[in-house]
Amino acid sequence: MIGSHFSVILLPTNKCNVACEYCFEDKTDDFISLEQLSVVIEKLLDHMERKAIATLTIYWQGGEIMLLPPRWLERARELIHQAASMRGKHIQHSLQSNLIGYSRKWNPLIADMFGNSVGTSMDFPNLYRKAKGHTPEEYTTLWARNVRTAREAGIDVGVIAIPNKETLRLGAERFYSYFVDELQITDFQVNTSFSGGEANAAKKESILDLDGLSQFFVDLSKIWVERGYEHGVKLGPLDELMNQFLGESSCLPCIWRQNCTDEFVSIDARGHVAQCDCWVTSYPDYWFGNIFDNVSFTELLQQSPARRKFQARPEVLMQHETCAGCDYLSVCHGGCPVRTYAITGQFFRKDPYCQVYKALFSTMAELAAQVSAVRARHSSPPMSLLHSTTDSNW
Amino acid sequence: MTAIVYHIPVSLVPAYRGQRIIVRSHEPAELVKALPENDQENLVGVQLLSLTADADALADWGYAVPVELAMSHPETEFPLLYRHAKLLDKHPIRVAILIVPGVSKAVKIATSLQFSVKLEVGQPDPPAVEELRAALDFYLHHASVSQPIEYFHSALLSFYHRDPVTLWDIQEEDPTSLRYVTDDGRETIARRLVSGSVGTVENVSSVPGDLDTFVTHLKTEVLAEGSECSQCEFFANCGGYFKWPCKEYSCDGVKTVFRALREAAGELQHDLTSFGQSKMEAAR
Repeated sequence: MIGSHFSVILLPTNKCNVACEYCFEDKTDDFISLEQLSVVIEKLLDHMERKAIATLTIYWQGGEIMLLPPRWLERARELIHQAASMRGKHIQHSLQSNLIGYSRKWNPLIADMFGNSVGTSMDFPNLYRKAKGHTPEEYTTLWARNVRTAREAGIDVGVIAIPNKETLRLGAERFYSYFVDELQITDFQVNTSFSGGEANAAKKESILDLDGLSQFFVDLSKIWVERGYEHGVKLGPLDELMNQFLGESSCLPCIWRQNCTDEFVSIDARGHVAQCDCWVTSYPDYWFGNIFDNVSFTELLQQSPARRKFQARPEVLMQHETCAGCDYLSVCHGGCPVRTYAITGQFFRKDPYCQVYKALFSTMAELAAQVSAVRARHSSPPMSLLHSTTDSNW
Repeated sequence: MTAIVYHIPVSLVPAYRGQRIIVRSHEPAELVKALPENDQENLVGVQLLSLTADADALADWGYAVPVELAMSHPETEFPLLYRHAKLLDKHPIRVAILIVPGVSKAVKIATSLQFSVKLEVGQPDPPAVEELRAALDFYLHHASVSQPIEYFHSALLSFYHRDPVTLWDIQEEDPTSLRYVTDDGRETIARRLVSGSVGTVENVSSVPGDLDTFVTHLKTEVLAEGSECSQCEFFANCGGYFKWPCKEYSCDGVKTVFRALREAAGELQHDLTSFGQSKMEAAR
């Protein structure tokens, strides 16, 4: 299917209500006003018209989004809906929050604006997430209580987790059990740390031994396929890799897309535009521009030297790295620019987690082959593979 | 009978109005200017002759218009394919890749970006045949290949279904269905990409006689008694394709490719038959 879609990671505030030690964001007290939001939306809609983009997804993040009152977001939604309707465009919304400020008063908004779904973050064990003057344990307790409350209200809660040194020590089994068995989370995602922004001890130790991290992902993959895959547990990015290696429709995470510049940007509360929330909050040298400047959003993107570097990155990797010879090129394309830059200090290098990704890819490919073999015993061969292509264009 | 498709330079769009056309240019902006979105009824596709041009114009234009990217120097141009990945959001993309030493990275990157591939084989010399065989191995055995690589894909299906289709059809070079129109307006056989000649027809021999009967006459000629084609087990799948423009071309190398394709089709048939039998036995 051919279509056209664009995403914006919007940080309506750069302020946060917690003080996680490994956070990459350079926080400020800025909030975007509804008047400013209106300007942002009009510029985005102009861009959608010029680029014939039919739909836009806004990923609402922060800072911490729940520092804004629900009423503000309701008005933002109305404003966006009206502006988009007048242009014949469709804008949908997604919510990412630490849930520390969550209470039941958010439920109607989460239902109406965000499809009764919210994404949040927690690690196991929690070493670095905490509120100022409080411990990680207190944070975990409050977070778990709020997650429970949200789920009791029928809200789907997805969790992003970043393995740390203790995760590796405890092993994949404990990690999986914590989320699935103890918290009853059935939709979570494992990310790798990238230690962006100003350096500190927590960020330094959050970059793990690659052999240990590879083994963790291999073990986690096997546990998930054995216990979760066919029992309704979504575990990213393993689930999408499984789809990919089974030849099914898949949506791989942004770190492994062909070129993230084609798909999304991030805008912070001061109007700065950059490739993603990591870049906009950590690296001013890589800002594309400011959306409140007297230039269209399309021109801002076209004229940005920083963005041109992003666009050129895969080309350079194909020339100078080993990526073009890699068996997993089609699912990685050289990996994530921000992880590369934060960890190596260089931009035109392949992702430093290459070794971990390869271990994960080969494990998932093997597991997909096993799943496929089991399915084959119970179903028909994929005859669609043998249909003629003469009716297709090209 | 399907109308002939004309492969024309962008400058000839007005002259071919009302005909089914594939339009080529080095400049995406030229294509967009010459082919307004409300006048694409007979547009079969566009061909971009330069990979260094700014593809943004095509990314913002049209809807589902097939785009072919012509690669004449795949050994060096392969990274440039990434610039065109964004086109896939709006258009089906095929990369026409000249088979030369060092082509494998281009084939791999093209398939990794979910582009279809058409290998421009012409009359491959032994090193090019080796590249062809390597590309075939990649097509047949690499799990990441999810898009057709021609001519392998159609030839494999042809063997599998025991329904011969010649390379003239697969490679879209039969002038009864597709005609290449040179920059000066001369209609000829669909050009073969020859090393260093993308966008030109300098190295293409002039076509003897009538374009309507070109392939038929060529087949008759190459099937003369005692000729290589007259004894060739793959003639029904080839149609003398490899005997043009040079009739003395030795097909030893390209026959190994046909043989590998036929064996792969046989293995596929065997596997599916075995699979069916095992299912039936399991059901009893």
